[in-house]
Amino acid sequence: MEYFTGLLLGFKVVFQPMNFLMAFTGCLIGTLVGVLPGLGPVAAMSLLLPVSFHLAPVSAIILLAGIYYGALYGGSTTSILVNIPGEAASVVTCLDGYQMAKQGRAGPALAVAAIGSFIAGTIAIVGMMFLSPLLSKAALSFGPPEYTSLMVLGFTVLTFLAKTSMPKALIMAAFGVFLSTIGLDIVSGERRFTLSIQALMDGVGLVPVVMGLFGISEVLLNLEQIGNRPEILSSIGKKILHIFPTREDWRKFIPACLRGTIIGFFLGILPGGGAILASFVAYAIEKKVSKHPEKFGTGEIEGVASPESANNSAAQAAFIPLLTLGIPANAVMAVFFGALMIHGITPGAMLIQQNPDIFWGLIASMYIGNVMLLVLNLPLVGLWVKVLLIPYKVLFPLIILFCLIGVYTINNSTVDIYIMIIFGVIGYSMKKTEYEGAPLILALVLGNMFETALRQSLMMSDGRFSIFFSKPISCAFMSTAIFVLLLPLILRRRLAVGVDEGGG
Amino acid sequence: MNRFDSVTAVVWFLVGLGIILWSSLTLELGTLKHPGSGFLPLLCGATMAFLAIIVFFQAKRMDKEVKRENFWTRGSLIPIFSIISLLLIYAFFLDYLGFKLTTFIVMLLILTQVAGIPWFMGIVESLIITGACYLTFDYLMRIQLPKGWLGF
Repeated sequence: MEYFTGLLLGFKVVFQPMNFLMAFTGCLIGTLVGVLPGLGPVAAMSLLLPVSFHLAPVSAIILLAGIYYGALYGGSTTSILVNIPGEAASVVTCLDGYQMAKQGRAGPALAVAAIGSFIAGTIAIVGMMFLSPLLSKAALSFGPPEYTSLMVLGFTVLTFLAKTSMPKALIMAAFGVFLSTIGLDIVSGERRFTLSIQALMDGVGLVPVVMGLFGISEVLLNLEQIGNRPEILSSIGKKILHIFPTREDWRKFIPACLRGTIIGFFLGILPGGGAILASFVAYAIEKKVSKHPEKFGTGEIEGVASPESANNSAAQAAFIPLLTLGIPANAVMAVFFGALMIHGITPGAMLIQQNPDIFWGLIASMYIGNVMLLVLNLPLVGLWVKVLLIPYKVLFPLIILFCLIGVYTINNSTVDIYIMIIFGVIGYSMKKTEYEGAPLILALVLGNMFETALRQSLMMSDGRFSIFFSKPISCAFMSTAIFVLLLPLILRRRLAVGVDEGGG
Repeated sequence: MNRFDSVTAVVWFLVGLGIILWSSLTLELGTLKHPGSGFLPLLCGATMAFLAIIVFFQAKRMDKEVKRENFWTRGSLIPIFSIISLLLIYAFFLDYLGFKLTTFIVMLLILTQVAGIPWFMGIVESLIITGACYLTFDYLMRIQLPKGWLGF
């Protein structure tokens, strides 16, 4: 009954004209961002943060959430039609989606991606609806040691899942935590690393760093290839004759979609997890359970259904740790965390009690958003393909200008623009040398909370680190973190033993 | 592994070392019982320096297996430096010249000098972009944009 009343409140909130409009705008912008390679949901959400200041908190959150799951929907369109993933989470969809399109089955591939995303998104919302209140009640018993351990776990899982090496990702996380310490110390009020710049007293802002790392650096990287960039002419997009999958397609699609949904949901909740990991794992598992794994990569419908369902399910599930524990699971959620804080809302165990309109409004907006995205994505496929035809030399000045305006308007300060430029250059160099930005962003957001929890824990225990192992929940988090940290070493040793045995 | 790993490892090691020195010289480190304001930055610096050493040795071990490629090609340098310079110019002049004038000039330079659009088209597009942004952000969304010394 509690859930039903909550959901009813949520629908009341979302059907207010302004909120409904924001849900639609978010889905539309999200799809656009997803379709266009080079501007991800993190940058798009940061870009619209200043705009959201003028909205009511619930409208702002609905708008930003729409951008996030809209981008995941949109990302699959370009993966299927032109073999260019608009989003990192849609990379796997290229493998079979593009092959289907080449065989003249772009319609069913797009339909499966959209319907799969819809089903997965809806199931994940139901899961989120039931799990969040339970988790937030459990989170009330969390103290500083539990929070410290949980954050350590988040950092280690995220770095373990990094595309490149784990030490490099850990360096990024440590650098992110360091950046979070710039400004006034919360406990003593002492200035730290401010270089006597007044604007740095409040610390390094999240938005300039995100815009630099994900927006400007991407533009710089793309500019290198402006001459080599293939002109995208989607003859495939024009040939979409039929959209609906055949009966055989449905038979294969349903189980793959459900598997993807479940995998995505659990990987989405995991600190450090998220849509990208979920889509890769779902594809790998789908291939493993298939009777014809050799056909994967040649246009199998399960190869589209499973990762697409998984990434949307994970996207919705990632809200759970943020809304119940106040811990963002990935870089996108970190931006969300920032947005909630700017609007004076502290995500965490008390959110559902203190701001039920925000929590249930967000959930209801996701239901509505999923329907909107289905409508936006299937009949308007042709339009999205045309968006891809916009030449990059027209697009990048606009991206740069939006970044500049977005960053400046947060504090009306040019210092933020300089910070963005610095992180643009750092981000560009990081991409060239294979360092990832996501651990840095997550660490920057969690840094202050991490420092407070760590210092409080040490004070509570008279300086003994054993406090993290003396409490059961904290011990479980910390042990898992240590295990994850040691996992690459264990795997390497096993591999070496296997090679030796094979060789001997 | 990346061919630049040994170089980046040295850079991160130096950054880590710098953080250690900066925090220990300027901040109170405290004790484990009462960690001071420099405690966490010092920990971060030490972690970064330690991990950078690991990356360095990993890079040395894998040195022969990585592809040799240049960080920059000659053609890529010009647009990148142009954009960075124009962004710096934008940041510097925004408060003095105001949003409209600075945006128009910088957009014009980006479009014509980096994107290679002809001057006439560049002027038209810069005017449209600046006007549309001003209308959207300042007029419709009531986001305050700087007017500058010229007052517009």
